[in-house]
Amino acid sequence: MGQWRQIPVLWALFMGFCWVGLIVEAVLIRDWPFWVGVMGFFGIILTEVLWRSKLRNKISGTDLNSGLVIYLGVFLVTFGIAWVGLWIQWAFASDLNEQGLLIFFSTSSTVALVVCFTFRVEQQQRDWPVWTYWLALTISIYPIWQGLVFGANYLGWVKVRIACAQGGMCLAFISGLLWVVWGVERRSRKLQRQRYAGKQKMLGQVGPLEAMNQSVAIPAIKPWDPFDQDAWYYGKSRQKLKQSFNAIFSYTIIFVCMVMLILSLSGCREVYELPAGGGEEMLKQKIVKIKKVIQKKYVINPYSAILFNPPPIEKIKLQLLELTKHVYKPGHGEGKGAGFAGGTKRGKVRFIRLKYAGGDWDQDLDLHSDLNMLLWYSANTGHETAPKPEVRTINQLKNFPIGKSPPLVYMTGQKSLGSISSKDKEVLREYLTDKHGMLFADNGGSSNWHSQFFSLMRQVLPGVEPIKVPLDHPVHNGMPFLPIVAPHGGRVAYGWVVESRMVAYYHPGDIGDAWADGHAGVPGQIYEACYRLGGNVILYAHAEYSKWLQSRKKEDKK
Amino acid sequence: MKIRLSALVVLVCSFSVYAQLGYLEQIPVETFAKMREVERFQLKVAEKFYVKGEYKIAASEYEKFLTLYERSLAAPYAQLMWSHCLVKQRRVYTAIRDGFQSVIDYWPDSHEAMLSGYLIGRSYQSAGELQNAEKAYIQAITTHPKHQTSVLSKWELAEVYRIRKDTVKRVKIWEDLTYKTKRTKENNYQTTHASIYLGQHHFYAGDFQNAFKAFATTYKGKSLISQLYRYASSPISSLTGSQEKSPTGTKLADELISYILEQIPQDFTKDANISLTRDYYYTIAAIHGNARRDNEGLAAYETLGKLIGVDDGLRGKQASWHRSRKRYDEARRIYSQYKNREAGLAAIANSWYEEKKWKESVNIYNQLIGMDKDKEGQWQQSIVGVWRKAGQWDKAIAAYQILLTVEAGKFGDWYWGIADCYERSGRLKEAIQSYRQSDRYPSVYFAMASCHRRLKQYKEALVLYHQARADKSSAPEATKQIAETYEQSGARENAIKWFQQTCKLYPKTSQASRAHAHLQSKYKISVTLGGANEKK
Repeated sequence: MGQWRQIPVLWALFMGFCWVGLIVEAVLIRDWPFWVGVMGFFGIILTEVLWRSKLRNKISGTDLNSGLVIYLGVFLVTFGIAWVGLWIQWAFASDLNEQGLLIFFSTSSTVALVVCFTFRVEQQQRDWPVWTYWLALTISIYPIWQGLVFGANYLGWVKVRIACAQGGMCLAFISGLLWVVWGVERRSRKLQRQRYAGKQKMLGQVGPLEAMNQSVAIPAIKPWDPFDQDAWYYGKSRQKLKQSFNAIFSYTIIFVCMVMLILSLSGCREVYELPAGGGEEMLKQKIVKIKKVIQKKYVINPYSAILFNPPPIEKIKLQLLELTKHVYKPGHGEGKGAGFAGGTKRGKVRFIRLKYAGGDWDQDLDLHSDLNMLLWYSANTGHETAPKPEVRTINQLKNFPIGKSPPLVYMTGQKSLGSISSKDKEVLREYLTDKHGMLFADNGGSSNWHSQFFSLMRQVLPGVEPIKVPLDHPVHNGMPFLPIVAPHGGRVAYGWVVESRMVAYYHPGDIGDAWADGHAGVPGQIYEACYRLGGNVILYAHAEYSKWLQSRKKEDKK
Repeated sequence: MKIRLSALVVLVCSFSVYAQLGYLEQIPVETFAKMREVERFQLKVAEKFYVKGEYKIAASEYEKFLTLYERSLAAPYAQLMWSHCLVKQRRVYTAIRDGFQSVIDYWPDSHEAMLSGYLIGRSYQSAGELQNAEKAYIQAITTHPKHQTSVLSKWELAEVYRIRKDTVKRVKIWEDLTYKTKRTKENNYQTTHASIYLGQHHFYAGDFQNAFKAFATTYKGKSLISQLYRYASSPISSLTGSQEKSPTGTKLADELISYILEQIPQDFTKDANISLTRDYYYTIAAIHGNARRDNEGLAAYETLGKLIGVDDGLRGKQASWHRSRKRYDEARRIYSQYKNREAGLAAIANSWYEEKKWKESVNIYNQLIGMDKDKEGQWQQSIVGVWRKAGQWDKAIAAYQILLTVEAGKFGDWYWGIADCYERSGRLKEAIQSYRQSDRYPSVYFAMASCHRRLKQYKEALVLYHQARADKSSAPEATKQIAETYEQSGARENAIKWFQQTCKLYPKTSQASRAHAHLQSKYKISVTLGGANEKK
């Protein structure tokens, strides 16, 4: 006993240091939640209380080691609670240190494997029931599953992450189903046995094959208990089959509901991350300077006594042209490669189009308008971009948490904006102000859309008046003019500015048409300018978002 | 003496160009007087383009001035105007950075530097950067507190606070402009309006004394009362409309009325005093109206009647009071007492119309026609208006027919009205006949074509639209309508062709924009409108 007491003391000391470290980190660096460190201390105190309680004597009475059970048990419980808590925080996309989380989740996966293996050995040695091992194995699925998903997400392996997430979901469903079938069967048999022992009325009346589907001890009053295959609603024949069907069906319903509940809480919460890196907040022209080396000129006097043989002009070789590339990287802040200081290495620039009820929100989408823009942006900035553009409803914007929401969404159309609900307007307001987002609106074809959009903005941002965007504003950076495909809403771009940041940019002239395949037949100079304007807006929105993330980080550290 | 006079004339003529410019764009007279002729010439060249709205060229001319006459007294002015040109081209940030700020840096003591301080704020404000605008305005106020730009900056700062919904700071600025700023011709607008806003703010708070104090800094005598009423009416209505604030509104109304009553003259022998009393009592009644006090309002009119006697003007006011409260019979009873019988009957007819009693209204108009045959045209038009409002098209047409004989000179209008009645009542063929007799070209083409389209006579409609195309201003719409007619008739190819024609022939028009969008959404055809740059 004394030996065991010493080991836990060492253990407590070791763990104590770890928890102290976590608390210090939580207070000073603030990458890690404070409650995790506090939880550790709570665990140590609980262990000490349990050690001094009667529980120790009770455990000592069995063949188990009380020190091992108390210390390890409390550790596993607190560790499990910490795991659940951190998982929830991660799922809600809180600002936790990702390296720390990786270590924690890897450790929890390893602990789960070790516990599972230990149970196997203990179960065989101590002759525990087999189900205890299976239970441990089932529980360990969750931390391992979650660890794999997090690891793949951290490394930016999207396909692996999806495979792990979906595979884990299947495994969780199947394991749960097996437990349900096993539980129902066990309970049902127990009830049958009890009744059969009391009244042996049916003995000999049913054969072995029939018994698989039929009750062997029918009670006088049919019960309500669904675990009892003689429950009245299972009928008079094939009760077993109906019970199994009921169990599977009920389990499936409950599982789906739970998954939906979890998804609505966290899983459907989307995350948008900027690509990591740094750079200047402007798109520049790739400048290729051509330096011409001028040949010596000979002025020949035809009356000169000296005979010249000048070479024919076409044979004069121009000395090779000198190429000088203007090396720049667009983005924001300091970092390796082109990107944003507030980004992550798995982050990507995505192009999200808003879907709304009225009009034709999907204008030019089939002509790859958004995709072309995204490709142009990728080619001209070197930023990591998503392979395809995306579509979201206004309501879906609320699924993005603060700090991980898209910096820019695009909307277009030509008929009517339809009736955008007050709830959607609220979501849009929250997105533009609290989530620091930006709306890029493009009038795809009517003055009606223009007035409807302005009216929408008046309701979304009351008190913010639209301004005519100056031509030397960062969103127009490097553009000598505002390119317009068709002046559906005039010839001036408007912006809505909140706290010196443009939260909405309105283009009056169908810029999306120029991005589409065929560029709506506009001249090269115009459609190239349209791409450039689109690129500017995307870069501006992302750079502003990155600045905001950086300032939030600084404020948090203060 | 002669030379001096001619020099003065030349100076005045040269300076007249600058009169077209606003205060912030003008060069000080003293500077202009000291400039050399060559400098003036260059400035005038630049000015000419600026006034014409050719800002790009103007900017280069100002730049040229700066290059040629760097040490000129007008150099800061040229730099300022160059910045104005950039602002007009909506290159606001460049204007701030390279223009206004340069004026401050290079010529810090100049008049233009003072203007630039304020203009930086205004430019930031136009770009939506309120924080920077606020800083710039405060800087301008503290640097030159006595200058006009200080007043302008305070005025704009109040606007910034309005956007930010910071009422406390706005009120402070209004108080500053109302009470502390010395009023001049230049700052008259800002100080006057500041006093009005301040007064209105106090009215909404139910504080009559402070509101009066603010208004009294700007207005005196009769105009003070009219302005007090003008700006107190909304606060009184809104305060008395709310259950919680009703006592405040009532108190405010009472205070205002008692002030007006104090101002009423006692001597009614003079016409001016009678007129003043009449106006004041009308105002008192209106205040009662705003405060939702029906009886008190009527009592005010009665008191006035006792003081100066009852005439048609007062009767009209009393009747209007009843009409606005839907007591039409009472109103008509008063109208029938009019000394001017014609005016009384017209008002009665109008009250029947308001009550939607069409027949009664028309009967009165007929009575009026019977009284004076010379005015038949006027009253028949009123009858037409009644029947049109009633949707009784045949009766309206009959009235138009009478108008055709009574006022034959306006036959085009009457035929147009008849056609419109036929069209509204679904008799399209008759409508076309009547439109044809109207002289409203080219509108009749469109109206007739519209009827033909409703009758599915597409060929006739197309002919008419083609005729309308001859008119330059109607051509884009007519071309688009041709496309729509083809589309309606099921001729897809022709419809596309004419929509494309609209885009091609009139790319800068709204019709082209709509045709472009329609082609894209319905036929998935992309047609270029040529693309465009922003208009500079």
